[in-house]
Amino acid sequence: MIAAIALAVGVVLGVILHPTVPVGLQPYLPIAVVAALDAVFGAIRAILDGIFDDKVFVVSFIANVLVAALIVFLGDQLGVGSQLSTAVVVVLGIRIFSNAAAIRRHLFRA
Amino acid sequence: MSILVDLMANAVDEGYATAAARRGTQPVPTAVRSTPVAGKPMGLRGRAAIGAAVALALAGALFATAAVATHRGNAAANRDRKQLVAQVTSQTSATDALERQVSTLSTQVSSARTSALSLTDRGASLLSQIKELEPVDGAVPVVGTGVRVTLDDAPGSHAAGSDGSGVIVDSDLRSAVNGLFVAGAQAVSINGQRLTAQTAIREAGGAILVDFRPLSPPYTIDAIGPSTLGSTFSSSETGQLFVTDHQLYGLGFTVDDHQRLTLPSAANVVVHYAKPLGSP
Repeated sequence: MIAAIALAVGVVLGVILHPTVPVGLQPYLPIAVVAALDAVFGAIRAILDGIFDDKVFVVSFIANVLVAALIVFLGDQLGVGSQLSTAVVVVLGIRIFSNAAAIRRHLFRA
Repeated sequence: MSILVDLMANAVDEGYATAAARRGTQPVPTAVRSTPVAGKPMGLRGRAAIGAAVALALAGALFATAAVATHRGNAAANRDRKQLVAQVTSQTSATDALERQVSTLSTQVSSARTSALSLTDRGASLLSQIKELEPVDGAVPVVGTGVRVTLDDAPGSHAAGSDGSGVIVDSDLRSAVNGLFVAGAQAVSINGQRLTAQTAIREAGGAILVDFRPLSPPYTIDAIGPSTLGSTFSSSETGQLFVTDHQLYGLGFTVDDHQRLTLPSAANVVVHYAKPLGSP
């Protein structure tokens, strides 16, 4: 419940304030979004599995976003930025998908 | 493959399982679970919960920011596109105005030339030569019997997912014009652009440029020539090719005979290198 409210507050704040993303950080925004989505879906699944832990969530969320951005940054420096960001999106996408499937199994028992 | 399988199997962060093992709670489905983790020291749990809420709020803000940034980017791109379109339109109309000025001025020049040349015998013979050459060169408007060939993109050829096989390209217009000249045309214009020996028909960014002016379909090619021009063109190799394209791809192609066609003069006839014989 609190989590849903926090998420909603975050969305509202983002819409109202719409902070301008510095140009240098803009390539990493989509990657950060996918990483955050992955952390959120993982947390929902953990809650349904009964093993959710606040601290793990906070750490995994921040680490996910930072590591994903770092990988793409590194790729940019080495000239393989777009390929690496594709790799990050594929890996996180697969995780999001299988977590979503697990959540679906929990909720609908199917 | 093992990486992908591993990824599918361990989609959830392993930290959750480790933390659960440390706490001593067994993974249990939500339905059976009673109030979670009672009896733990509340301070630590509360702080972690606040941290999770803050992280979630951050995630929400991140999503919202990304969405807003994406929409704003689209809006900016749209605005730029509209500005460019407006610029193109205004510049085209400016060019039109200048061309009208050119044609008024060249009318004045030609009437001044006529009055100057008609003073002497030699001038009169030059004048008759000029009168003979001007229509061929595209320097003056001409009138006469001819044909009107219309070419149009096939319906739906600009829709998404179309392979563009039904779209008229510059080489189609070129072959049509060449075919008309072969069939005996003496003056040709495309969408009101008179063709001269120096007119280029080419393509840039999906638009066909005739004399460096962008045209949009349908393309109307007016050609003045003998009364048999239409039938000669239709039965020529080029004409047959367009008939085939019409049947295969739905390309718009018609040939109509006209008793009286008026073709405008070319916008600018400039000779860069050639000099009249006998001049210094």
